[in-house]
Amino acid sequence: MSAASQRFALIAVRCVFAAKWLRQNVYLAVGTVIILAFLIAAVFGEQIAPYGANKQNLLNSLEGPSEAHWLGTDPLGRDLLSRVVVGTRHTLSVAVISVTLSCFLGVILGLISGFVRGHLATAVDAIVDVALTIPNMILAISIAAVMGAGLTGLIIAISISFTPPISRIVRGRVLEIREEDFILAARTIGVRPWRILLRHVLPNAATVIVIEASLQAGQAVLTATALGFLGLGVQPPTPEWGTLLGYGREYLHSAPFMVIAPGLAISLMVLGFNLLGDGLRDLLDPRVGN
Amino acid sequence: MKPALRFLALRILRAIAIAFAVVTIIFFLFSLVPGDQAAYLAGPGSTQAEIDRLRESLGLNDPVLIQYFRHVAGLLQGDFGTSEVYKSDPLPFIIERIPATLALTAAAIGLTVVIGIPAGLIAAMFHARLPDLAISVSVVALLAVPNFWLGLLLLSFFSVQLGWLPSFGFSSPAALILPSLALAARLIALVARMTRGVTIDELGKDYVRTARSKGLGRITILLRHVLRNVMIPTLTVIGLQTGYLLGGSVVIERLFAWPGIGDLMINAIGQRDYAVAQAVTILFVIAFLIINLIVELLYVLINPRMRAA
Repeated sequence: MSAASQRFALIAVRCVFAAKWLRQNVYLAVGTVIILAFLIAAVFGEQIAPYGANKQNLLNSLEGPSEAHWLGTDPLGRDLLSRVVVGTRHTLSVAVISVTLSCFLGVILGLISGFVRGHLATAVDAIVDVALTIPNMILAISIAAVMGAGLTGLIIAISISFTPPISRIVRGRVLEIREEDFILAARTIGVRPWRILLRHVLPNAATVIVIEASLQAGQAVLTATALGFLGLGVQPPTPEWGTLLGYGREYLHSAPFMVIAPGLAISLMVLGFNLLGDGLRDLLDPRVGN
Repeated sequence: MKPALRFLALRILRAIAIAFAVVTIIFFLFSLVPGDQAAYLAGPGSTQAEIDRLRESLGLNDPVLIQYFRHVAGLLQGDFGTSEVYKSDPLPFIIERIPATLALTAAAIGLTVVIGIPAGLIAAMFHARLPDLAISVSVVALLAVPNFWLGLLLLSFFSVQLGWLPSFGFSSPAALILPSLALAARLIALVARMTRGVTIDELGKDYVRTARSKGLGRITILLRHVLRNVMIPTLTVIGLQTGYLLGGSVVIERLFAWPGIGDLMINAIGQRDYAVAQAVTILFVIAFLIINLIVELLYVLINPRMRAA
């Protein structure tokens, strides 16, 4: 068989396996569908949304759900469905970017404290220990307060406050791996430590990292929208979900429908990430039987 | 010294060391605030001389390290700096607001125990049947719902539509219901899930079979024998989620205009009153450390196996 057809066969087999996994693993399937749907909404928000997210129409202010505006309109007559759809981008990108950053940092710190011995590891351990005693949300609020409200501040706040737990989990896994025979074997034949770290330890820790990243993404959505709700996130008129809820709170008496859609969207996205994480855990982590 | 006392002493020393480190981190974090604090506080229309005088009186001209040592020395004497909004020591304003936050978090923990544990026990008793399914689905749903949205929905329904409960402030004990429920929802879900898992495990153990063969009823076994073993993981969950409770209380207090320290913190940030924001952050961390100490102590009290260790 030629190399190309071999590769094709391999891909085909993998696809069959993936389909089988998805059928066996309902969590993973549902989570994947939800997150894919949000991904599409994030990329094509403007095309999907029936109206412009910031298109005002003061004659239609605070209208309840109708055929023209499925979820109603806000005080400026903006279509709520469009605002929620277009707002997907902000929440999703904040979650994905900050979890990527915190995983990157957390993995580096976790590898150092789990694999490298000496003063550096002790120092990293101490810092992570201390950082873990600052409640996540409080740390995020403080950082957001110092950085000032906005997208950058939000991402930095969440990335930093999510790094310690990830580093702790990576550390735990690395401590397990370093006791394995294959690491000893690699050491014995004289493989250099950094190579062991990158080629043997990291790939074996990858499972834990992927699962944790997915679960943390759900938490990042909750934190990001909570900061938005508190007025410390992305500023209006950007239709960020948390900010929309904060705005809707002021109209709870006259227009209670304003808070339905953004909250539903947040919950669905968190649900998607949680299911994805749980599904990945069932799939990848043989120690957790179901 | 008794091992238990030694353990306690070591834990307390560790907590103090961590508190000191956190104070340091928070100080340097807040020293990063951009812009001229003195110019902002002096207000628009103030002369350069006034701004300079204010900056000098706040000690903002000194090197950061000097400011840091002054800050730590102040904290040790109970001096949390000067609130620029209240023009005074912020401590009385903070202390005045502590009971409301305590009431909120305590009520949330109470609700968690009262709802979460029975829900988990029921799910385990009806394992793989309808009640179990219903509870398990609710748990997954509750873990995805943001607490402030749940709060908004509760507020909208019970206060605005039905008018049964007050929508803001801490005017009566009834006002506690909605905010503590919104804050507790996530914890209730976690505790129910944990209780369900542990109970299913425990029900398959030998001592349960022995109790059954002795003729004890299922409910008696559950409440007298199994529940005892379920308490430890439950306590663990609550202990691990203390950070969530404190952080969540800030958001919930804001939503319900609850007169606690979380609301104070967000107000202070809005008014750029960083001395207060910093003081509240430090207080939150200290509360967190103290609660974790208490949880560790409770562990030793509940679990005789740990007393020997």
